[in-house]
Amino acid sequence: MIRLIVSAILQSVLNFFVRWYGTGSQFFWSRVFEWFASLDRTFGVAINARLIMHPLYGDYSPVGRVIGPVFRLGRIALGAATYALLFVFAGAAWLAWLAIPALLLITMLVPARL
Amino acid sequence: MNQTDSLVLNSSYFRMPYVQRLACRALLAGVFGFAAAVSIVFVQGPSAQLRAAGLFLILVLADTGFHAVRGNRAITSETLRMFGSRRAIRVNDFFLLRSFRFLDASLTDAELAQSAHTCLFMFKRMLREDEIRRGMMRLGIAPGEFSSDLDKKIQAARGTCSIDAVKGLRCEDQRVAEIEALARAGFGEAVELGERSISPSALFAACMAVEQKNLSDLFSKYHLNEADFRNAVVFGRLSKGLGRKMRAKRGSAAGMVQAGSRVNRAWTSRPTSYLDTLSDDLTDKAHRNEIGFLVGHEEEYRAMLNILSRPNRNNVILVGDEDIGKSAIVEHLAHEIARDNVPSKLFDKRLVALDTTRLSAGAASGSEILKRFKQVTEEIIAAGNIVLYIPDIHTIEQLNNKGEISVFEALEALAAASQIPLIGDTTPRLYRQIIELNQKFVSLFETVKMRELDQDETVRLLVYESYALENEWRIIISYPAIRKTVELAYQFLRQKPLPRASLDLLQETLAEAHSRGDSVLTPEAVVSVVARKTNIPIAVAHGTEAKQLLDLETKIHERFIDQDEAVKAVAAALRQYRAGLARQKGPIATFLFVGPTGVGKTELSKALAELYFGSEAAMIRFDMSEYQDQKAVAQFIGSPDGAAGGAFVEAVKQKPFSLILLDEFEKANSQLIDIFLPIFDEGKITDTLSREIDFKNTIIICTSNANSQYIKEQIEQGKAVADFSGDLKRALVDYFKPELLNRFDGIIAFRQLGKDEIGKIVALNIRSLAKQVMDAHGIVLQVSDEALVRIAELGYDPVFGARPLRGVISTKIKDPLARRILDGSVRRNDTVRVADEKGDITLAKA
Repeated sequence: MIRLIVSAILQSVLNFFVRWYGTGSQFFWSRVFEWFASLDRTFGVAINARLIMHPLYGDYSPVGRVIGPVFRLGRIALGAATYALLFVFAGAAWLAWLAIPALLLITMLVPARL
Repeated sequence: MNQTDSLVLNSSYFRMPYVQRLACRALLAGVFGFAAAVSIVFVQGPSAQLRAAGLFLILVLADTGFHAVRGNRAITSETLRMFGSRRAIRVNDFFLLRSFRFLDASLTDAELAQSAHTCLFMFKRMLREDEIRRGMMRLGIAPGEFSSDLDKKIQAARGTCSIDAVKGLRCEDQRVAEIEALARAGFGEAVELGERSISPSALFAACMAVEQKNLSDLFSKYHLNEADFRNAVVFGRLSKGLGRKMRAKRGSAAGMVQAGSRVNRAWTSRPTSYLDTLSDDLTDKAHRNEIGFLVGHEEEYRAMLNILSRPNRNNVILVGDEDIGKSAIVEHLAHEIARDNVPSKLFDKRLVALDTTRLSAGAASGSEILKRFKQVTEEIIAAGNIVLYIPDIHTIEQLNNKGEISVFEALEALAAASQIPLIGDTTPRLYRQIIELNQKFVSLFETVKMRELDQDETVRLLVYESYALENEWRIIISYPAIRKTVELAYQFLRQKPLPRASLDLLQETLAEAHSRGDSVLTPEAVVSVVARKTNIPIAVAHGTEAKQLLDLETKIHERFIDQDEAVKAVAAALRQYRAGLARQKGPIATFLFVGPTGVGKTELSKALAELYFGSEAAMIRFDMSEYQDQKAVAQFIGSPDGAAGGAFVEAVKQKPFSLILLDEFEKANSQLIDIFLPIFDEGKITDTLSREIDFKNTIIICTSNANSQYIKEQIEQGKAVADFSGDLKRALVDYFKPELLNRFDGIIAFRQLGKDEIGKIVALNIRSLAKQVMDAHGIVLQVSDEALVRIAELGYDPVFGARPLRGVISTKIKDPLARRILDGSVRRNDTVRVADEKGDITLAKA
């Protein structure tokens, strides 16, 4: 019985690290990428990149052919910058996630300098 | 080797006796409780180290607690791969806490009861689980009743601990072995259920599999097995999950929201303000999750998608009956476009449904409608990202402008340009009558024929719908009731296709069940509704009907004389049908009655129609001598273009349960006779509009005078009909194809009527007349025996059989009686005596 209880306690601690770092990270990034995909259904960065040389609103006049890529490039740049920023935030959140138990352990185990 | 053999349960906990397990649980709870208390204290501690330790402990405890309840590990695709390749998996990690507790508590119950059957006690405990109760109710099993039967089994199992004779295991080891088997089977059931952890429902199904041998009598009483239970649980979950979404969609779609004109993400389109006033943006609705749910029709959807993705001739017309799902697949396309789940040609498009009513509303003339349509077309072409859907596209043809170019022609021009993909839909009849007449239009559109959903797909759809319906009616819909609804709608309610027919039937049955105050919808309720609607006796006969069927020959002979072989044959066919033993394909029975004229071939059919089908009016009768030429064939089965329905086909559609009498069958056009080959074989034919007409609930009797002389000669030689039936069949080949003759269930020769039989027929007719006179006028009609004999002499003809009898009775009795009633010489309560006076039939008031 004692062996069972000790095993259960040790298993809890081990599982905690496996779940926090392994399963948790997997879950986090799959949700982040799903979120980016749904964002792009609204902002259309990928589709604008694909159609970068197409004029806006079907305006195939010479002016339209020049303005189109310019506006698209701007939209792509803005979108990409937004995505990059969001990715940085996501990355930071993930790093914070990873750091929490480590920091706690370090604080616990390393005595504070006097 | 069983797939679950590679699964391992660490059963050291279950090997402990009850007291030890209790102590173990208490100690564990104490340890974790203590750790929780310590962590709270640490978190408020003075030093950062203590606080960090406290926080760390809280994180570990929260994680442990969370996963203790939800299972340490989830069944993932990796786990399934390991399971599939039979690698060892420790199942302890996949239990929900609730499931684990059930195992533990049941083990305790079995221990205290000194029984080796842990499963029995687990069944009992689990019947309190909501999902399990609902699963049982969905199978039409009352949990209370099942629980009572289970109590008897449990009582019998108490104190039965003994050493296993085969394996030599002690009781405790037997219980542990059963737990191990349950855990392994539970994992397998969880995989079948698509779960991430082993739920109580999975364990319940596992119990059924493990206890199959011991509880087989209980399971067979309730028709219970783990596969059915699994289905009921899955459907309960599906209906809750998707049904909730569908209910929400219905609610949000109730108020119409006019979408603003939208430019697409790629900035390649232009606004379409005028088009937006005359149409509905389906992609917009799909973005809001109001539409797009589709069950079945995968092939039709893929075909439509392929056509729309082509560079040219990318127009499609969906052809199918009303409510078959045409608009459902178009809405599903809108849903897929909204999710970028389409080929690149359709990427970022708007699927817009043009409303032809709004297009023509308030227009003073056809040219104004044309002007509007042209404006719409220009906007669509300029926008560049529209997929145009025109529901009921045949209505465009009716927006005609005499003498000028019509909207239809303008649509043709748009379709020919292939600039925008076009989708139209219509019904088969209107396609034949309107669309097909315009060859150019037909050549511009690719046709996709919509098939009806099959029964399994319809069951799935009804399961999704059942959540909303259960909430609406507050009645649990059992899974057998859903299956019965689909089965009976498909079999008997063919005026509408699936799923519409089954949805309507389900609603109607729920309304009736609600009025009765039922809490669970059973298959019997569905059967009762369908039997009432169609007048077809669906349930196996019992009570009065069963008695009538058992004595049918006697009942028939009360109004029909002689011809015992024929009477026996039709009575036997009906008994088999009503006992549920009729052949699966084909009509109830098919007979060919051959014999001379006036011997009762038609009369037997009338007697059967009146006796069993309610009245002679329930009989569908055709004189096939009227259908000899080619034109008559179209009148019988319907015109090739589908414009006019056939008399025969329409009659059977109206009365699917009936007796069909085809007189003078040999005289019909040979093309017509060939139509009966599939009817006799499969019990169905397809009409000119590709609809199936079902004959499985009909008795078909064909009569013929062919080879009457041969029959007469055989009978006069004293031969029984059975003796010459083979030769008769060979002789009939001169009139009918052998393959048709082979398909009859019985070819029955009717013999000539003798004087005795004629006398009985006269007596029967006079009895019927006397009853009629009494009911209508209160007059008693008495006919002497001599008069009866005389009438029989006058009414019999060797050539025409008993046919002249009716005329004789009419001339000799009915007409004189009618005169006396009209001139007042005979009144109510009078008695009229009919006598034979020197060969003349006389009537006198008594």
